Amino acid sequence: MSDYILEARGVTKRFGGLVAVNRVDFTIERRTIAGLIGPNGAGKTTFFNCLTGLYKADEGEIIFDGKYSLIGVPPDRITALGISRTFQNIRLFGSMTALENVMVGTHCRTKTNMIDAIFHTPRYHREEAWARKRAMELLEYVGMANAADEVATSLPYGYQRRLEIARALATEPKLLLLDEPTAGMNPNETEEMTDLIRRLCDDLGVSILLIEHDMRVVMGISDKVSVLDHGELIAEGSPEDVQKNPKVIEAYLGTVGTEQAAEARRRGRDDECSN
Amino acid sequence: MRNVRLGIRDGLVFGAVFLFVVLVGLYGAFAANSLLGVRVPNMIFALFGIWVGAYVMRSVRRQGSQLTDGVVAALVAGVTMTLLLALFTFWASRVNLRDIFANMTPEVVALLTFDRGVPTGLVFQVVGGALLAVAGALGNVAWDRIRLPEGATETGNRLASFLLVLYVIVGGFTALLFALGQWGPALRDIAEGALGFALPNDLYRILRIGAVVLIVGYLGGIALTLAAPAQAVRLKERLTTTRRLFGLAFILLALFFPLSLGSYWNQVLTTIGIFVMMGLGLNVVVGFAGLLDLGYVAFFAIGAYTYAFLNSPKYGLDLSFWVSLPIAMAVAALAGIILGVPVLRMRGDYLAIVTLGFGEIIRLIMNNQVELTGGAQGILQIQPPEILGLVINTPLRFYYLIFIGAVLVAFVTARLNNSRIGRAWIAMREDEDVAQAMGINTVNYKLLAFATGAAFAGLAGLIFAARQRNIFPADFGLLVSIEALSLIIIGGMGSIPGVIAGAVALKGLPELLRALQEYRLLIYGALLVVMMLVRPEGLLPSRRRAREIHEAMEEIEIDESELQSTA
Repeated sequence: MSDYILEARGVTKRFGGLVAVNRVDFTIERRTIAGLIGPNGAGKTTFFNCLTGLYKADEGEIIFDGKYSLIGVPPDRITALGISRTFQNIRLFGSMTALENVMVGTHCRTKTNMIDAIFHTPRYHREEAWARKRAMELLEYVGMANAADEVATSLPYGYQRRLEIARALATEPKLLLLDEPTAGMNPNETEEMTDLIRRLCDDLGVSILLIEHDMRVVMGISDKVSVLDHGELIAEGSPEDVQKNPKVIEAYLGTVGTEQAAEARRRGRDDECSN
Repeated sequence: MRNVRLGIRDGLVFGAVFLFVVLVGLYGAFAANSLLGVRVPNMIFALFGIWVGAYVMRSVRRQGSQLTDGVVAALVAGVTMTLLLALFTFWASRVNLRDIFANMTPEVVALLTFDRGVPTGLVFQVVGGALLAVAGALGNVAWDRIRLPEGATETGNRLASFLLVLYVIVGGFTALLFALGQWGPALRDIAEGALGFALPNDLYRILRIGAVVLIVGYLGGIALTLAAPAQAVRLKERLTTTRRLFGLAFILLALFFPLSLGSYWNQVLTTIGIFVMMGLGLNVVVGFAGLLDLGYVAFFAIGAYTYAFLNSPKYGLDLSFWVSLPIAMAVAALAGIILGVPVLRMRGDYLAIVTLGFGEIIRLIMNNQVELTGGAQGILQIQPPEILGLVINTPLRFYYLIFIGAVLVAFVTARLNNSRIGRAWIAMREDEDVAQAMGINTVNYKLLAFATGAAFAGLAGLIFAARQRNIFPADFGLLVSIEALSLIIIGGMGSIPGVIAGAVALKGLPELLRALQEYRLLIYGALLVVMMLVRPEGLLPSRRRAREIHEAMEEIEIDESELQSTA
């Protein structure tokens, strides 16, 4: 068995003349949290979409779980293989309750067909009860069992983010892709979310790929951080190494951002002190 | 102020609907009928009064306003509604309106004024309307508030609420009608019969005044119950009970009512039934899976023509209705898949245009392939179905056949909706990309929706052909698709009771409106417009759909109020 849950080699995606992702080599070790950062428009979400099959990569190879090639595989098959994701701008099924949202996630792990549904066969009852129980457990796990019957869109923001994670977990992923899970959260909510992500990896053994703008979150929980800029991978390594990499500082701040750079260095020192 | 405005608005809407009921002749049609001694038109009047009050109170409470505001709004609505009615009654009593409104006969005017002539009757209208609206408003609140003491079973509580509403409706207008004198003579006869001697006139008058006091006391009593602290009410459960009661009543009505109707109305009912089946099928495609299909008539035509090919002596196959049934459904389902494959990648408007084209292609094939389909002359001599020697050849028998078919279709769609498959369809309707990312094979589920919807349309087509005996391409025009789509929008998209209500409204109303003669379609169109403005989510929307529409509306309202506050 390969040490890597995901291996991407030379992945390239072009939109007309624009190369959004350019020959990116990228690996995620099993049961680790990988962070993917980069300035706006660096190609992070495009890269995500290539992994989940929403876009088809123009070049390169993506191997999942050491044996499955993901190029040209439709998104629903990729989910069935064991990759699930959340979305940058929350995309819940707005008219469904929280519980129903998570139950949709169990879709690819159940088999109830038309005949079962019409005649309420034993399989229908068994799977329906299982899906409901599983969904309830996942809502409890992310800490929102009390909101199971609330309509998704009426939930508070933090709950909506968690619900997306519960729904993604319902597909029983081996690799979970989180697209800015703490965007728009206050420090308190951010901390809770960070804890949750850590637990997903440690307790459930799910490998995680994380896109995030909040540096404290990425640097705090990632085992490895990769930096994309203009579609190219410009740095990779432990959070400490990446923070000191001059190419990264330049990509984020430009060459004139001295003041912010000083601030970033100071913050880096603070983090070291607190560690 | 806002509540008064709401009251005026809803009062005007209900008043317009009431006037409409009067103008189409429904009000006068029941002049000779009475139920429990009450003349049916007066019951309609009382129902409208209570209804407008309850409706306004519900809207006000949803905004979280005070109960007193709701009562005021209901009062305003009741007065507005009846003022509109009174104005019209006054006009009709002065000018002969019968050239325009055939039903405004002097008898109807007399009914509207409770046989009291113009000035007095109009006062009765307005005062009665106001009282009834207030009763309705209080009843609406009481419905949620009344609970049996601690420890009562849920069934007990439900029964209590149900009886209370019955009391509000029946008790309210019984007392009112007695006060107005409708019940007076009858009750007097009963009382005199029981006592064995004639009541003195003065006593009788006192009793009548007592009835008025009773109404006041009755309203006061409800008001007192309302003042009791509100207990936690599980509205959702109550809603389910109400729905079940209505469902049961509806099924009983649908089973026995046609027996008392003539063959003309039974024919209308079979048409409604065929459209219910089509609507339920289209509801799977549009309401559940969110695929806008404007060529739905194609599958209806395919079902009908398949039966014609298999059965008509012209082709010599002579297969019976029951053998043709699965074949026609399968052929239609296959056609659904054939249409589905090329449009898999299309969404919204584009999908609508392609399906529209598909519907026309099928109709043109039926029209132009003269050797095969008989062209515009159609296919004749299709045999009606037969069950154990009983030939289904009267409208009543067809009605029962269609009733069974529609119930089966409703059952299947309801089961599908409440399963993994239904959830997948709704997820797909809401956000196709996310649905796919959650592991739903959108290709298969789209095709499944098209095939299911098409099979039900095929069934409807088969029964249609068996009923008509002769079918022509002209029966399968674009209008059928549009009507099928309209009925699910009017009824409430994604909701099975909604489809039935929509079919009854869309196909039944034009028949009821025949009394209006040449104004029929004008009024019908206007009603549809009013309906969509007042209740955009449909007559009986699914909870889900109502949520979506109301959230969208609230967002718009919030945006507007933000604009106003910034401006």
